[in-house]
Amino acid sequence: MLSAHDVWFGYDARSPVLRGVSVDIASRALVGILGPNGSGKTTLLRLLAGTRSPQRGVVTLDGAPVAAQSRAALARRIAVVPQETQLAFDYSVAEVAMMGRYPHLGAFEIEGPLDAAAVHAALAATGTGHLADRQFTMLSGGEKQRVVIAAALAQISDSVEDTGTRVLLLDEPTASLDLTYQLEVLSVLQRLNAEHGLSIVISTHDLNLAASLCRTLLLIRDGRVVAAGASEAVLTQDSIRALYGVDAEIVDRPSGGRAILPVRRTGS
Amino acid sequence: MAADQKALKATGRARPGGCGARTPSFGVWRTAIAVILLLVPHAAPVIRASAPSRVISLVPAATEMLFAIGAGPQVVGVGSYDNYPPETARLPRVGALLDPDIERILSLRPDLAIIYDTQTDLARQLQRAGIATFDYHHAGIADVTETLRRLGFRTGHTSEAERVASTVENGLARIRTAVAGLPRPKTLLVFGRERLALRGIYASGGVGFLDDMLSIAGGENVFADVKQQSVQASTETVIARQPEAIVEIHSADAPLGHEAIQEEIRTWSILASVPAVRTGRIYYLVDDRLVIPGPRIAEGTRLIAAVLHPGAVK
Amino acid sequence: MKSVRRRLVGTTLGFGALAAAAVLLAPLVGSTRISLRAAFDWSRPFADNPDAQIFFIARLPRTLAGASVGALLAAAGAVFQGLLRNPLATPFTLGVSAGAALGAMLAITFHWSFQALGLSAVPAAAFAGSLLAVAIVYALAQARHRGLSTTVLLLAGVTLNAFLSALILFVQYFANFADTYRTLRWLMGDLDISSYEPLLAALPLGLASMAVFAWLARPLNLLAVGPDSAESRGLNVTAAQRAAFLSASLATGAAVSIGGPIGFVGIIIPHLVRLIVGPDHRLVLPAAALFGAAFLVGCDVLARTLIAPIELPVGVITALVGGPFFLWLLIRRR
Repeated sequence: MLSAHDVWFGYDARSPVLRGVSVDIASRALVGILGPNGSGKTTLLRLLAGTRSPQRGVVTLDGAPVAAQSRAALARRIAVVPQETQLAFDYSVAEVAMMGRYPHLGAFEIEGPLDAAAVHAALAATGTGHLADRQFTMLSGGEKQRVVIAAALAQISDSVEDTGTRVLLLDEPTASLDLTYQLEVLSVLQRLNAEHGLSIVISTHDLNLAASLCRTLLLIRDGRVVAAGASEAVLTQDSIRALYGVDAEIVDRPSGGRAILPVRRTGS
Repeated sequence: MAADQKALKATGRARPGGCGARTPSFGVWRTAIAVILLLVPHAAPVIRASAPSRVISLVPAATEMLFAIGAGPQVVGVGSYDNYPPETARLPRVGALLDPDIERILSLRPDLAIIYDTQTDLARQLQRAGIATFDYHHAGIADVTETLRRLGFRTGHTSEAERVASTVENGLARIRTAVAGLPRPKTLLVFGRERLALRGIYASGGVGFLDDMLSIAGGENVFADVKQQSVQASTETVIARQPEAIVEIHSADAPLGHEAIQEEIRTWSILASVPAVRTGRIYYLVDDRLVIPGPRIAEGTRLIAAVLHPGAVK
Repeated sequence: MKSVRRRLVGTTLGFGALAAAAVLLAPLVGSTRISLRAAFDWSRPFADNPDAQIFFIARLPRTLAGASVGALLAAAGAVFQGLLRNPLATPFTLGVSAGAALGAMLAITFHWSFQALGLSAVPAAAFAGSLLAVAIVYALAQARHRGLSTTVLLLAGVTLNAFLSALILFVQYFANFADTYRTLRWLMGDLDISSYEPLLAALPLGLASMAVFAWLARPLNLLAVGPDSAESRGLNVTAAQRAAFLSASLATGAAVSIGGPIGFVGIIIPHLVRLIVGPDHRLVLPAAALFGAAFLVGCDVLARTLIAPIELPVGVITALVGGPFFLWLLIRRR
C-alpha cells in the first residue's frame, strides 16, 4: 500500500500546490488522479514517488515513511513514466530500457544477465521486444511510450522474495499521443495490472480515459480532494461540475462502461 | 607639355636644354623654368612643410630623432610610449600604433604628423584634415639614418640631422672596427619571453634592425636563415641551433632588480646542452637604447657588442 | 547486442592503442633530425647531449602535455554536453576559458613574475582566473533555483563569457603592441612547456577529475533521458549535476592553464567518438579522453613540422581540422 496522509506541499513555501491530500493505493489497484491542469496532479505523483517531500503530512510505502528509505530502495519499488521523453542523445531502445535497472546496480557495476533478463521481459510485456535494436528517436509516439513503460517495468521488477507493493506512476500517459497509440498504451497498462500485479496510478485530465481504465478515482481541484472512491460512484454530474465547471451527460456504452460527454459550461 | 610650350615661346624654337654656342644663361633659364613648372604641383606641400612649427609624433624612435636634431621646440604632441628625452614628459600624448587619438591630434592643430606607414586609415583622416604626414618605416638600421636625414629635411634641420646621422654612422663604424676579425658567436637575440619561463620566446629573425644591430656588434644570428623580423623559437629549435651566446634585450619600462635578472638568466639553465648555457654566456640587458631604432641606436649596439666581445668593446 | 563490458574493453584497447601510438611516435618526429641512438645513449652526460635534450626537454614534455590537455578537454567536453543535454556544448561554453584568458592576459600585460606550485606566472594566473569564473557561474546558478538549474547555468556561463571578454578588451587597452600580440598567441594555444613541472602540478586535479568522470558516466546516461525521470530512478540529480559541472570545469581550467584555450577538441572529439561507439557515456568518456589525447598530439606534431622552423599555434591546426569537420557533420545530417 502506497499512501499519502494529509500532505501539504508548495514549491514556494508560501503558496501550497497541495492542501491536505490523502490517497491510498493498494496492491493491484488501478487508480486515476483526475483534475484540471494546475490542480496539483503532477506534484502529487512526485510526492508519491518520493522525489519531493511534503511540507506537512507523510507518504508511506507498506507502512514505512518514504522519506526514510534510500533513493535506490524506493526506486526499486516505485517507477515514474513522464508524459513525454526527449532524448539528448541517440540511444537504442534496449539502452533506454536498461536505464531502468539503475537502482539495482552499484556505482561502477555493469549490468549482468539478471538485468538483461528483466529488460527482455519488460520489453516483451509491453509488446516492444522486436524494437530492441532500433533507435529510440525513430519510433512512433506509442512505441516510445511503451518503451518508457518497459524501462519503468524493468526498474521495479525484482527478485521473487520481494512481495511488497510495486507501483507504476504515469503522468498524463496518453496526452500527447494519437488515438491508436492511446489505445495501445491503455491495453498495455491493463495487462500489466491484471497479469503482473502492479499498482498503476495515472494522472490525467481526460475524463473518459479515467472512466474506462481506472477502477478507483481521486478527483482533485486546486490542490484539494473533491471526491475519492470507486469510479462509478465518484464520476457523477455533480462531481464533474465541481471539478471542471462543466455540465456533462453520462451515457452507458454499448460495450460496457460509461462515456462522459461534456455539453456546456455551467452557466450563471 | 606646358613646359615645352613655354620653352618654345621663350626661344621660338622647340629645343630643350642649352647648347654650347648659345649663352648658357638662356638654356639654363629655360631648363629652370621647365623644372619649376614641372615641379609646381609637388612644390606646394614641400614649401609649406619645409618649416613646420607644430609637429606631432606617434613613433618613439621618431620622437627621439626630432629632439636629437634640434626640432624639439617644434614638437607639440608625442606618442603614448615616448619617454625620451625627459622633455617629452610634459607634452600631450596622442596615442600610438594601435590607438591613435585623432581628436587629440586635431586639437593640437599640427602641421606635420609623423605616423607609422601602416596607419593608412589615420593617414587618410589626416590628409582630409589638411595635415601633412610623414610615414615612418620600421626596418633595418640603415633606415634609422635615412629617416634622420629625411626628418631633418622636413623639419628644416638638415644640417643638424646630418650631424646626428653621421654620429650614429661613426658610432656603428667604430663598433664594426672594434670587433672586426674577432670570432662571431652564434647568437640567439631574444626580445620577448614569458617571465621565469621558457615560453613564448620571441627572437630576431634574419632581417630587421635587431638583426642589423647583432651583426654590427659582432654576432651571428642563429636565425639568419629565417627571413622574418621575429621568430617564435620553440625549445626544440633553440636546442637544435646550439647558440653560443644568448642575449635578451628588454625595454626599461619594466625595470628588474639584479636578483630578478639573475633568476631570469637561470631560467635557461634547463637547456644544458646549449653552448651558451654551458659557458654561461647568457646576457639579460634592460635598456631602451636596445629596442628603439632611434638616434641612440649606436649606443644600444655598443651594449650588445660589449657583452659579446668584452675585451674589445667597453 | 554486445555486452557493455565487452564493448568497454574493446573501446579502451582500441583507442588506448591509438593514444599510445601517438605518444610514442610523436617525440620521434620534429623540425630537427635527431639520432635516437644518441638520445638514449646513457653513457653521455645529459648536459652534453643535444639529441637527448631535444627528445627529453623539447619533445617529450610537449607530447605529454598534448596528450593530457587533449584528454582533459575532450572528456570535459563530453561531460558538459551530457550535463547541458546539448551536443553543441563545449568546455568553454560556461566561461571557464574566458576566466583563464583574463588571468593570462593580466599576467602578460603587467609582467607578473612569480612561481606558484611549479607553475610560472601566466599558467598560475590562468588557472586562478578559471577558478574565479567557475565560482561565479556556480554561485549564480545556485542562487536562483533549488539545486542546480542547467538553464540558469547556461545563461550564467554565457553572460560571464560576454562580461569577461569585455574585461579582456579593457585590459588590452593598457597593453602595448608586443604584449597584445603575446596574449593573442597565448589564446591560440601553446604546448611547448619544456619541463615536466606544469604536468606534475596539474596531475592531481586531472586524475581527480577523471575519477569523477568515471562515476558520472551512468548518471549522464540517465540525465540524457530527462532529469525528472533520472530522479525517479534513484539518481541524486542535483549532486550529479554539481559533480559534473565542477569536475569538468576544473579539468578545463587545468588544461587551459597548461596549453591555453585550444578550441574544437572539446566538441569534435565527443561527436566523433559517439559516431563510433554510440551514446553510452561509459564508452564515450574513456574513448573521448584517449582519442582526444591522440588527436591533440597529432595536431601538435603538424603544428611544429608543417612549416618548420616556423611553428604554427596548435589552436590554428585544431581549428583548420575542426571547421571542415563541422561542415561535414551539418551536410551529412539526414
